[in-house]
Amino acid sequence: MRKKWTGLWFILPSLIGTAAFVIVPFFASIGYAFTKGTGKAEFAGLANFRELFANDAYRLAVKNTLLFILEGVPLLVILGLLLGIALAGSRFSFQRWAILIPMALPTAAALLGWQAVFGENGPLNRLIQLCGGTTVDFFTGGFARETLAFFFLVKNVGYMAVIFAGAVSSLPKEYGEAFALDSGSKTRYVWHIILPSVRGMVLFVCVLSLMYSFQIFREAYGLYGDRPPQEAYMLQHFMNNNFYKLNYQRLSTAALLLVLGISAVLAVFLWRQEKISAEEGM
Amino acid sequence: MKDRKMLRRIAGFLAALSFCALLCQKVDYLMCPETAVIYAEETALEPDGEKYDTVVPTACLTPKSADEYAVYYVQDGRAYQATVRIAAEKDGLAAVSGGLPPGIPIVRYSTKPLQDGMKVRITEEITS
Amino acid sequence: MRVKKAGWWLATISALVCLLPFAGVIAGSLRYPGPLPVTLEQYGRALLQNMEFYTGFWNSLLNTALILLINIPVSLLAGYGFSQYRFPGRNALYWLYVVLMLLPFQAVVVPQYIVLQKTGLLGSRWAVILPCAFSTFTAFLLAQYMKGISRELLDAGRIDGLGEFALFWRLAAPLCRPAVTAAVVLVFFSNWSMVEQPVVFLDELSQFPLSVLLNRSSALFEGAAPACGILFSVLPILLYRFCYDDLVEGISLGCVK
Repeated sequence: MRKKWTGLWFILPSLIGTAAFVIVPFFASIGYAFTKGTGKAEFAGLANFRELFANDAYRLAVKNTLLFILEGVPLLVILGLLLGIALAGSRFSFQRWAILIPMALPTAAALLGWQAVFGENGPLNRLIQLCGGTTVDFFTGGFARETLAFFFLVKNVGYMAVIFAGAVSSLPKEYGEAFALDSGSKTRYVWHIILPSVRGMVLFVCVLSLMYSFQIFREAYGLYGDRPPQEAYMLQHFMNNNFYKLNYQRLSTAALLLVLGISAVLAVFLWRQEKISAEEGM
Repeated sequence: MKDRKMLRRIAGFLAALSFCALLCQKVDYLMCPETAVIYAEETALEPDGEKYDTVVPTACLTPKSADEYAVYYVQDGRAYQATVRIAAEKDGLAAVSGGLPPGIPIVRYSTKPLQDGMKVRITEEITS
Repeated sequence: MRVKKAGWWLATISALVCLLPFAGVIAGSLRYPGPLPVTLEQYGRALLQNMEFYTGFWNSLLNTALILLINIPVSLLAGYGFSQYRFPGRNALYWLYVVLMLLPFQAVVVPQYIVLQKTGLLGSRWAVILPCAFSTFTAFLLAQYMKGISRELLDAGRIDGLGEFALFWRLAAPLCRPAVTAAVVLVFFSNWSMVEQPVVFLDELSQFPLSVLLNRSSALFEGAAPACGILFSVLPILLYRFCYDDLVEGISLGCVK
C-alpha cells in the first residue's frame, strides 16, 4: 500500500538544496526592494522603483536587453523551425552533427574562433575588402548587439532545430501520405499540416529561447569584460556594476522587476498552452 | 563498447594533460629566477642632513638613460621594473624619486636577468 | 522536389556556419608569428609554459565534476518522485520547478550572493558549485522521461516485495540510462562554460575556471589562447561525439509534453 507522501521523500534532497539556494533567499531578498538605507532598513515603499526607473544606466540596460531579445528570439525560433522541418524528413547526418557543435563548443573557445573570423584581418573582412568595401568593425563599430545576436543564433539554433525535428517526426505518417495523395505539393503540406500541429511547441521554444537569451552575458563578458560598448550594455552588466558598489537595494529591485516580467511572460505562455490543449483536447 | 572507448579516451586525455601539467610546473620552477630583496628605507639621513623617503642601495639601480635608472620591485610573485631618478647619493645609498611604489620589496640580487613582469621567487630578505 | 532542395541548402549552409567558430579556433591555434605558416608552437606554449592554463583547467574540471556528482543523483530521485507518485501539492511543486528552471541568473544573483555571504562560502569553490548543483532543469528533464515508465512494471515489482527505494534503484533507474546520459552531457556543457557565477562570487584569479580566464586574461596566455581554447574543448567535444544519439534523444523527448 503506497503511502501518501512517499513521492515527497524522493524529491526531498533536491528540494532542500533548491530551497536553500534559490527559493528562500529570493523571498528574503524581496524585502530589500522595499527598504532603503544602509544599516537600519526602513520601509521605503516604491521609492526604490522610482529611483531605478530614473537611473540612466538601468534604462540603457533594459533597452538593450529588450532590443537584443527582439532581435534574437524571433529569428531563432523561425530559423529553428525551418531547420527542424528540413532535418526531420531526411537523413542529413553531417548537418545534424554540425549544427549541435556550437552548443558543445565552450563559449570561450567559440569566441576566439569568432574573433578570428570576424576580426580586422579575418576572412570576412578580407572578403568585404575584395568586393571594394571598407573593413567593418563587428565588435565595437556600433553593431555589437547585432553581432552578439548572431552568436546567440548560431549557438542555439541546433538545439531548437532538434526539438522541432523531434516534434515534426512524431507527427503520424498518415498525415503526410494522405496529403501527398491528395495534392502532391509539399509546401502546402508544410503550411497547412505541420505548422498548426507544432503550435504548442513553437510557444515552448519561444520561452526556452527567451531564457537562453539571458545567457548572452557569457559572450558579452568574454568579449568586452566589465565595460561593453554602449549598445551592448545589458541587464547583467548593470547588476554586476552595482554589486561592486554594494547597492543591494537597487539590485533587488531590478531582480524583482525581472522576475515579475518573466512571470508575466510565463503566465501568458501557460494560458496559451491551456487554450491549445483544450482545442486539441481529446 | 562505446562507453569503454569514451572513458578510455577521456582518461587518456586527462592523464596526458596531468603529465604536461607536472612538466610545466617543473619547468616553471627551474626557470624562475631567485631573488634576494630588500625593503626601501623610509627615512634615512643623507649627508646634507636631509631625510628622504625612499632610500635604496645603489647596487639595486641600473642606468637606463641620461638621468633615469631602472629598479625592480616584487609584487604578487612577479618582478616589475620602475623608472626612478636619483635625488641624492652617498656611501652606496641613493635616495630615489619616481615610479616606485612605497613599502614593497626591491630586488637586490637575482640569479637570472630580470624582465618586466617576470615570475620570481623570493629566497632571502636582506635586513642590512 | 524544390522544397526538398531548399531544405538541403538551408541545412548545409547552417551546418557550415555552425562550424565556423570551431574552424576559426583550430586555424587560430596553428599560427604563430614567425617564418612558418603552420606551426604547433602555440600548443607547446600552452602546455609547457603556462601554469595559469592548468589552474583554470583543473578548476573547471573539479567544479563541473562536483556539480554533476550532486545534480544528477539528486535530480534522478526528484524526477522519479515527480513522475511516479501523487501527493498533495505535487503539481504546484512541479510548476515551481519549471519556473525556477526558466529563471535567468540575474534574477537570483542577489539572494544567492547574500546567502553565500552569510554562510561564509563566498570566495570559495562551493560558492560556484552549490547554486549550480541544484538546477531544476535536470529534474524536469528526467521527470519527463520517467513519465514513460510503465506502471505495470513497478507494480509487478511491488508484488514481488520490493520496497519503494529498491523499486527506484533496481527497476526505474537502469531504464533511464539514455536520459541520464543526455542530462549529464547537457549539464556538463552548461557548467563547463560557466561565467556569471565566478565573476560575481569569486575574486582570486587562481580560483577562476578556464571559461572565465580564457577570454578576459589573454595576457596570461601570451598568444597561445586559441590552443588553450582547443585543449579546453577536447572534453566537451569527446562527450558530444560519444553521446550524440542519447543527447539528441534526450533533447527531443525531454520537450514532448
